[in-house]
Amino acid sequence: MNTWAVPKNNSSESSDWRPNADLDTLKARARLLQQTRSFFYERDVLEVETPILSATGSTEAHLDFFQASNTLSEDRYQLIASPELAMKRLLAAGSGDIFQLTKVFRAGELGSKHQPEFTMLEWYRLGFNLEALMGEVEQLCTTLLRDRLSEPPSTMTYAQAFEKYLAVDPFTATVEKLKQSFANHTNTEPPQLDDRQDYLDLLMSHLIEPNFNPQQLTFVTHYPAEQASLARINADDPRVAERFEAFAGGLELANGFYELTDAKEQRQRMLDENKSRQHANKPETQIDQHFLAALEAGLPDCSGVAVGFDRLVMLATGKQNIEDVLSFSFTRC
Amino acid sequence: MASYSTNEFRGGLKIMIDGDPCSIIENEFVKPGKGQAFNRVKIRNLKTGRVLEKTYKSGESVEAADVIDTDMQYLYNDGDAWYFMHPETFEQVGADENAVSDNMQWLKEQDMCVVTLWNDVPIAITPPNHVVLTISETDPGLRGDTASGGTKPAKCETGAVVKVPLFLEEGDMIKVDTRTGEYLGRAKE
Repeated sequence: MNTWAVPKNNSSESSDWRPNADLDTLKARARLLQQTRSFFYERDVLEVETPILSATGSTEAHLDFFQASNTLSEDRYQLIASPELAMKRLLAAGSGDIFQLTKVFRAGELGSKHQPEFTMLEWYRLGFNLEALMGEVEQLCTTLLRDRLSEPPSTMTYAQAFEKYLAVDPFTATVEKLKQSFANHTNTEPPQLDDRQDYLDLLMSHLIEPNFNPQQLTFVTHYPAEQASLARINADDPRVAERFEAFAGGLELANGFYELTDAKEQRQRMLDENKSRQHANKPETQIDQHFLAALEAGLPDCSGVAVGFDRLVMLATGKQNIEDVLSFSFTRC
Repeated sequence: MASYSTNEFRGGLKIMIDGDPCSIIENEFVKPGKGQAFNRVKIRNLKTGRVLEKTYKSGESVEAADVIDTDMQYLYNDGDAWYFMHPETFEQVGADENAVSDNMQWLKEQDMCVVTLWNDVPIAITPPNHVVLTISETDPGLRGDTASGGTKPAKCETGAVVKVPLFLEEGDMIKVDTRTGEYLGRAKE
């Protein structure tokens, strides 16, 4: 293995200056960045950069943020948790297909698969429906991961996943039923959660995702409308959103939307999200008026997806801990 | 009452679960990108020794368990309790059978043990990794048989039964690993 020229010494107090990843992994990461860029350049998708500072921020109910201030004024900024809003302003302005590799920031997310600062790959395709976009996610993963995924992808709806692994209907089951299902499968009491969707998250993350085959991509589609976020609601079935997620084994890789273009509905969802934030004792976020104005001006019909790039590197290099694919992790920044 | 947020969870942290003191073995952060965050922990119940899993909503507060590990010297057993003494303060505590449990077979007077105290009451005893014990009962030794590799059971002064080589005799002193119950070698006082 190609390791660093400066050997690790055993006195732990001084060793934290060293990189987390070994040199081979950083070389693999560099290759993957290059391959990702080539993938999109070959498809005429424009690489863009949008600000990491946001004057308003995101209203997403389940995220916590970093704030930035400067030494010259009282103005506060949020470090972006996602480049989505700015990228949609570009789309509304007529950019055409775009992609971006950027750092994003989510406070409190720290674990073997999470870092508060991580790299997001996000792209938008005009005129693509979700199926076409899932196809492109698969092509990208095949390009980057090659032999790591030996079986063709599997696709199931959110309801099918619940039916298959828990024999529960996520659209009709009561909170009581969902809690019972967790207790039956784990022999422990579920935590007390704020709403029904949180119990669905509990079951999905603890009892469904870990069953997915690590040899293939698993696409889950037709998420509940309550979890639509910035996706459209399905025209035929108002209970479901035009949203998919992609997993490799239990590792969540990607989240994609057939993008909501209706400014009025988007504003209402942001207000509702802020209400949920209030309910969960999280600070309210100002609504991004630039973004809503862009939607009013007209977002073209498009689909978009966000991929956790560090997790792709984990898969490509066989690392179990996200720290092992970073030059310096959060605890060494 | 002291408490910890799930953000402070890490291996070794002592928390209260369903009225029992527990120690966190492993803490895993689980969060769907768009969804609720959880901390899934693997914990050891310090009273029963049982390992279990539990899931918390991230950000939740959990009551801290007032548990400390103290090095203390084992003194004696009076039939009801096993008594330990702090080597500096000479303070004594009595541990009941639940706290001592299977480890009673390794307790030799004057050995230093780790006593786990919860609200100042002993709930678990950890004997030294290696103890020296005198064989009190075993079949007669096969003198000179140091090569055949056979073993026989030997009962020690503390009640522990250890598999020892055939050549050992009553009154011999042996070194034993308390974590595995294995014979490590002969010992000299």
